[in-house]
Amino acid sequence: MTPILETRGLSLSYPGFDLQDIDLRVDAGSIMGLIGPSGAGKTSIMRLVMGQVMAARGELSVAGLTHPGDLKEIRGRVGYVPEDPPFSPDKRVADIIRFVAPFYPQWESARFNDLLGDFGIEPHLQVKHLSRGRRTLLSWAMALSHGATLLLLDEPAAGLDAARRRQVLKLMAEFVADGDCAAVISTHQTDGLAPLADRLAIIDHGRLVLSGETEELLAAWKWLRYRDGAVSDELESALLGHERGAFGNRGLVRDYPAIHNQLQAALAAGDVQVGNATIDDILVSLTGGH
Amino acid sequence: MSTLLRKYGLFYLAHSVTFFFLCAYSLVAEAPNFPFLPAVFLPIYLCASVALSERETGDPLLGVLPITPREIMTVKFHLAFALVAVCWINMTVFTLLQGLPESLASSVHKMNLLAAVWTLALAAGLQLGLHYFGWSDFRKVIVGLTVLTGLFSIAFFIGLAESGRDHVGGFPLMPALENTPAGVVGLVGIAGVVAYYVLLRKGPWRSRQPLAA
Repeated sequence: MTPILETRGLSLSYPGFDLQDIDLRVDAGSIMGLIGPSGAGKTSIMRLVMGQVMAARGELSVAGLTHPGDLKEIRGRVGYVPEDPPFSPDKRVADIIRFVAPFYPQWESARFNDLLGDFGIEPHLQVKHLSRGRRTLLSWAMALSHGATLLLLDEPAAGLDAARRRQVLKLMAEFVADGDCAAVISTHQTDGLAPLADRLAIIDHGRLVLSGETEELLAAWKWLRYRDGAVSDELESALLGHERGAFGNRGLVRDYPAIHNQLQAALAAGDVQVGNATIDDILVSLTGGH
Repeated sequence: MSTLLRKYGLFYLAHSVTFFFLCAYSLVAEAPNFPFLPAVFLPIYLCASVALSERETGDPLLGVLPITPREIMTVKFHLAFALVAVCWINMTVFTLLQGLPESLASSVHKMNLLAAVWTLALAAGLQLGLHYFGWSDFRKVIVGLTVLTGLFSIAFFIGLAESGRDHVGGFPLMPALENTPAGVVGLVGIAGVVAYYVLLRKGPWRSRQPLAA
């Protein structure tokens, strides 16, 4: 499988924040969910890919192109939806596009105009007269109209209502469907991410704390609800998010298949119950919910 | 890159043209201190070109478009240099056309060259500031400098007239200009251009630091 985005030991440092040794791989035809609390380092990774900041150490490649030598080509291959759409407030949408289009050899005007129409954005409007959501949608339209190979989406549903959020996530799924492209979606809101993201990477305090196939992670991470004494002390101490309550105890286990056999008796007796964990559960248990 | 050149270039071209008319006015005007008028007003042309072109070209977008920071800087530095060079040639030609006495013409030529070097330094400073702080944070400095240089230029000439020194020999920098050898001024000019292009070539034209994680 061809990696569309690959980082090895990617590190960045600036006052008050360190991003350390980030290893990521996003294959063609897949979507990676880059999740973590606010300030964890997700946006820094996006900025590193776009060359807006330079790495202190490590390697970064997009579709075989490497930083920093191929920065211009990389930017041409990436459809970027930043958290803060980079448009001057006084510019009209049409003026922005007149400026932007010549930078991309594969600019698709018809596609862009269709998207503007779908999003309900009038080209003659100034950016300052667009809502936050419409500005995000303008970023989406640009990102999808220049033949990108990688979609880089930083909080891409910010300011969007539920219907628009579904619409853009569907566009993202269509983008990767042909198998030649990939997408990275960075967010701290994980609702609805599980069915979309093939892989997850959880970042906290500038470090990669977990990564893997979404299906495998959700199959491995389970809630255990159990009566006192139903699980060994060793297992209990290994549980994450452990809570002891009047009506029983619960905790999150990282690798349920590995302990399934030792719990069979307790499961049969009804002393232990197993429940599915959500991405949110995993995120909160690993990052402490800060 | 050509897109950027066209976009920015329009503003620099417009200012080159208006500067030509300023020089022409200094030729036909009767007031004695007008040989120095273009040199004193040159910095405001540069500031205004930077302010207008940066505002219009949309600095934040450049951070995501397929163009490298070095290419952006190359366009901006070359345009600023072209503006200053064209303005300096204008000043030189019009000074020659004014038919001034030789010693006075020499001082005006020196002033013209020093003003051009100072304006180049200003251009480099503004572009460094823009590169590291971005238009949204640095625009107040640029707009402020534009206004200040404009006000200074006007006040300078009004002050000269009011003080009764509005004759060419009364120009405040005249003694210093007369005492400075033309060769030294020429060397300053060459050194300024070399430093400007060394900065463009070697300058740390990497991206500015992020504001948040």
